[in-house]
Amino acid sequence: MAVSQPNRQALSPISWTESLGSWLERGGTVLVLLLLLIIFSLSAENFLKVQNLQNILRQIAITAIIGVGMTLVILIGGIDLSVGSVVLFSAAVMNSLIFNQVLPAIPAILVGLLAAALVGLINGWFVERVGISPVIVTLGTMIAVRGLGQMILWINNSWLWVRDPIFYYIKTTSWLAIPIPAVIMIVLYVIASIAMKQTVFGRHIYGIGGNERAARLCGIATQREKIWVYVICALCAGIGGILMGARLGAISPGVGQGMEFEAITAVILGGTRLSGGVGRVERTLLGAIIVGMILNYMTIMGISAHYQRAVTGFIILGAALLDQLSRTRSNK
Amino acid sequence: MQRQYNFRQASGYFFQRYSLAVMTAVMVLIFALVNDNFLTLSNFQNVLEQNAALAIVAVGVTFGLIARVLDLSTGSAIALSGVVLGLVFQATQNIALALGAGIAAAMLIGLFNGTIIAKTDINPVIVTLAAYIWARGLALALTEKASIVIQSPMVGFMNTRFSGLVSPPMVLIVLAYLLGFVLLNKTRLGRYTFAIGGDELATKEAGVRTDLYKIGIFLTSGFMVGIASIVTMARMGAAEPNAVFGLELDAIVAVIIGGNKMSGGEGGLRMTIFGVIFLALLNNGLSTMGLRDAYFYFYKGMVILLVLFVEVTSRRMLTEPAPSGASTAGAAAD
Repeated sequence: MAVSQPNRQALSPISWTESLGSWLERGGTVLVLLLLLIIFSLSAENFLKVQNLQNILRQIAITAIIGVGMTLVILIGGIDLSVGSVVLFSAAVMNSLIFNQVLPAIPAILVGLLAAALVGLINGWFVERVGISPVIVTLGTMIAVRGLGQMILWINNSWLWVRDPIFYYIKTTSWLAIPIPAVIMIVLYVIASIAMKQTVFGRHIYGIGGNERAARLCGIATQREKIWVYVICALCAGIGGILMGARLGAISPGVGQGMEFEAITAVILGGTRLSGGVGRVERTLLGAIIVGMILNYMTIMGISAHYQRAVTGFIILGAALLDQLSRTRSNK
Repeated sequence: MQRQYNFRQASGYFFQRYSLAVMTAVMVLIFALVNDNFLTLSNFQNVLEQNAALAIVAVGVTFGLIARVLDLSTGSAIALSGVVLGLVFQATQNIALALGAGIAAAMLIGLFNGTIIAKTDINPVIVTLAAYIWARGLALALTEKASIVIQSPMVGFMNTRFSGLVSPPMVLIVLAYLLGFVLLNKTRLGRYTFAIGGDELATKEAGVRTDLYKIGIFLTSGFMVGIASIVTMARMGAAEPNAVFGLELDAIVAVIIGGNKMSGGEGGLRMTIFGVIFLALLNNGLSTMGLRDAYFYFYKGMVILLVLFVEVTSRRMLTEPAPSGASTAGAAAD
């Protein structure tokens, strides 16, 4: 991708840190992933079993799907902290419609997605039209939308069973040994990565993130496109809501809490820069897989969930430091 | 500076200065009508004691926002330094040593974050997001998720209202803001905090060791976190690894509502005080209404968005001469 590699030839003497840096920048994430895969499969015999790999895919699918939208939002220089609450909200909307037999499953799921998109529209409107910082706007909607979702649960006796056969199908079926949530994830990533390269909208996102003023002067309707990005991000969280309901079998008030930070972690590990304009959607998937593998490995090795959390924090730092190292090259 | 204001700008000016005061007054009025006990002395004492940790942490967060370093780790840092405090107390039964260890732990976390941010170009959001996760994880892991009860006369002392009025947490709030005022307005650290937020590169090129001052900002923030963790521990009588979940976000919201900007370079503690008062009253008013969690979150989120909407709109009325669709692209996320 042209944006992340400013004229490499123009730079002359290369020190070893610089060459390591450029090497990391090009293939680093993939190599880290392969390295971890080798270490883990040698040290834990159950790691490479099909069933365990399927488990990892199931565990990362939701985070990775939200990661698609989050990558786009971060590419335009924003951030969305409300996705975890949107997962709860959309899951609550669709499942309460099904549970109370208001709508059949498919229309109910669509209404749930629509509700999610509406939150995205509100986020985008506040950020772009009113001009409030995205951190603060999405923090506000994160609190308010969680409240909305919990209200719906409360009306249904504070707990919603996920009963429809569609969700059961999503949970239990695999196609070619790939669980359905992972199939959805892969399809979304294929669409997103093609769209980012091949469509006008995708190119505009890089343009806006790289230099918004220039993009606007080129005649791109930056505000409208940025609002769309927030809607897409919320839609991804809505899809996460479908899968979350399927996975858990019941919606409780705490569903989706902390999901926003998991998704942001995947994006950061994938090398997308928080300042916007530089990054790739596919790499977010690699980031999510790396986190999923490490957590899975620690679980196999019997490390407690709390230490796992601590380690996750340090992984983010380590990834950021590696990314920094790779930038020493492109900055000089 | 004499300027001619048209009506739109004049009303924008009025709202910009007084919108938060007006909204606070309206909110107090509503709560007072709904709840007879809202406008009582003991409730206001409660507000101060419940929100002491928030108020104290907000001092450090203000420094951070002025210098454009957003700190997401404060809540987790309170939990971790509280756990350190508890473990040291468990081992030595010496409360003074334990309190010192708690503050030291908080400042160490600040030093760690600050050093990484100052010495590399990594975005502060990433570094403090990582700390938000690892500090909470360590706090839970070190205690196996159990709380450590602190049996010490110090806990009783902290929960005493002297002559029925003032309790030590209130005094600590005042001291924290006094210290913050002095540091921000009377010292080099404060001056360079503004300079770094305004234009970091220019400050650096003027020969200022911006990296050292950034670390200084995080040490200040860490100290405030340490004090807040003592207040939190004393209020519960125990070191609690799950304590103050979400406080970091509340602190940022309070600082912003007060009128500080994400874009840095300006602002001050006076604004933070008003923001903290608003959020503390909102939290207290909503929680004393006996609402369910769901309604609490919903109203809280909506009120925050409403306040921000009014503030930002009035700011734009002041700066933009006429209504237009022109973009005031929000400050960048970082």
